[in-house]
Amino acid sequence: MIKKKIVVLDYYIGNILSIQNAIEYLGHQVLITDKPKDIASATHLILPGVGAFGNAMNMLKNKYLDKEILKFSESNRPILGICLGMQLLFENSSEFGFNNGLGILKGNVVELPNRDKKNFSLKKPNIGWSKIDIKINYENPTSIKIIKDLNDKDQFYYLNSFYALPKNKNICIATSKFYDYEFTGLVVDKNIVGCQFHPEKSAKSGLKILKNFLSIN
Amino acid sequence: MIKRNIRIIPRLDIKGENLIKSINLEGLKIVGDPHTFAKEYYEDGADELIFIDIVASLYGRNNLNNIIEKSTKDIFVPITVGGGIRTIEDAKKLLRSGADKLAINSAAVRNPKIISELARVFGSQCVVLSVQAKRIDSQHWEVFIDNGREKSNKDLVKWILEAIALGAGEILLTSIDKEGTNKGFEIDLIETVTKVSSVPVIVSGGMGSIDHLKQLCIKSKIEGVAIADMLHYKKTKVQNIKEYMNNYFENNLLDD
Repeated sequence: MIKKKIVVLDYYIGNILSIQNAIEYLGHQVLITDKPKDIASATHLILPGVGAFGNAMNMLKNKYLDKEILKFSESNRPILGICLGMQLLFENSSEFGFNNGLGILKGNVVELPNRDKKNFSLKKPNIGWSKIDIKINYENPTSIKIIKDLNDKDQFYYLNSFYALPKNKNICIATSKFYDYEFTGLVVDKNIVGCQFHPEKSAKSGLKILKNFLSIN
Repeated sequence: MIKRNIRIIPRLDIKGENLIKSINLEGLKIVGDPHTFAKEYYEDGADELIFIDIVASLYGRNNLNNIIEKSTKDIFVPITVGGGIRTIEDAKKLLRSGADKLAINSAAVRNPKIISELARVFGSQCVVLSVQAKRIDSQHWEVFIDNGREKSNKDLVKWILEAIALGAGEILLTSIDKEGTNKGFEIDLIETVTKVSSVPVIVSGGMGSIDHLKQLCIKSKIEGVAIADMLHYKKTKVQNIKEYMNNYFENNLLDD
C-alpha cells in the first residue's frame, strides 16, 4: 500500500490547526502548505473552510494553486472541501459580489434566506449543530464510504451564511436545515467530497467523516 | 413552528493557569485545571467552549495560548477565546493556537474600529462581541468593561447595534447583576437584546437550575447559553441539560 500524503491548503488566516489536530488524532501525518508541487505529490487533498470566497480564489490563483487543484481532481484522487473549501469547488458564488470558483463541481453558491416562510427575519450566520438527512447515491461507491458508521444521532457543526446548489441533485447526499429551510450539507461526486459543516469541529461525528474520507483510495 | 437547538456552552474563566469562578464578576475562587474541565465537558457533549482570560485586559495581554493549544489537540468542538485582544496580531496568535472565534469587549469599547478590522481580516463569524451589562433603571442597562470594573458610558442597545453594523457576528451577553448568583437569568435584559440583534445571541449569568434555562427558552429567542457555576461545581452535567431540553422541546414546539 502506498503511504498516504495528506495535504491541507493554507489560506493564511483563521484556524487550520484544528484540521491538523483532528487528522493527527486519527493517527495520520499531515502537511500544511501553499505550494503547488506539494499538491502534485499528495494522495489526499483538503481545502479548509476559512475566509471569504473572492479572497480565497485570488489567493489560489496568485499562488498557481487553482490549476494544480484541477489537475489533482482530474486524476481522481480524493479531495475534501470544508465549508468555504467546499463552496470553492463550484462554478461561482454571490458572496461579496460575483466571483468565479474552481468549477470542479457544476452549480453555484448562494445566500441562505433572510426570512422564513412566514416572513419572520432569521438570524445569520447559521451557527450551531444540525442533524443531516442522508440520501445515498448508490451509483457512487464513495458516497457510501463517506457516511460509513454514521447514525441518526450524529450532528454536525455549521457556521455559514452561504451554501452550494449543485446542478446535479444526485451529488447532494445530505441536507440540513436552517430554521425550516433545507440546504446542501454534503456532496459527493466521484472522489470529490464537500461538506458545508466543519467535521474538524463536529466532535466524534466529524471525526467519523474525516476517517472515512482518509480511507478513500 | 420551529424546534430550537440551543447551544450548550461551558464557559471557563481563567486567571493565570487556573479555572476560576466569581460572583457578580468579583470574589474569585480557584476551581481547578482548565484542560481537565474542558476535556470532561467535551466528552460529555458540549456544543462549544468559551475560554476567557479575565485579567487580560488589565495586563494588556491574553495568556491563553498554551491552554488553547493543549485543549485543541483532543477537543474537537468550536472554541471561543476572549480577554485582552486589542490588535490583529493578538487575534492571529490565538487563531493560530487553535481558537475559532474571538470574544472582544474592552478593546472594542475603547476602539470600535477593531471590530470591523477583525471582521474584514477573519470574517464576521470569527468576531464575538462580549457585552457585560449592568442595570441602571427598569429599562436601561449600561455596558461595563475590564471584567465589570469600569463603566463605559455606552447604552446597551445602541452599542450592540453599532457593533453589529461594524461586523460582529455573534453576541455573548453577560448579566453582571445575575452573574454567579444562581438566581435565574435576567430575562428582560435578554429579551431587550434578542429583539434588536440580527446575529445570534449567547447568554450568560444567573443559571441555577435547568428549569431556569427552560423558562428562558420559552420566552426568549436565544441561540445559546454559556454556563459556568452549575458545571464547574458539578451541580449538573452537559448531557443532563441537553437531554432535558431536547425532551421538553421535542414535545413542546414553540411558535416562532
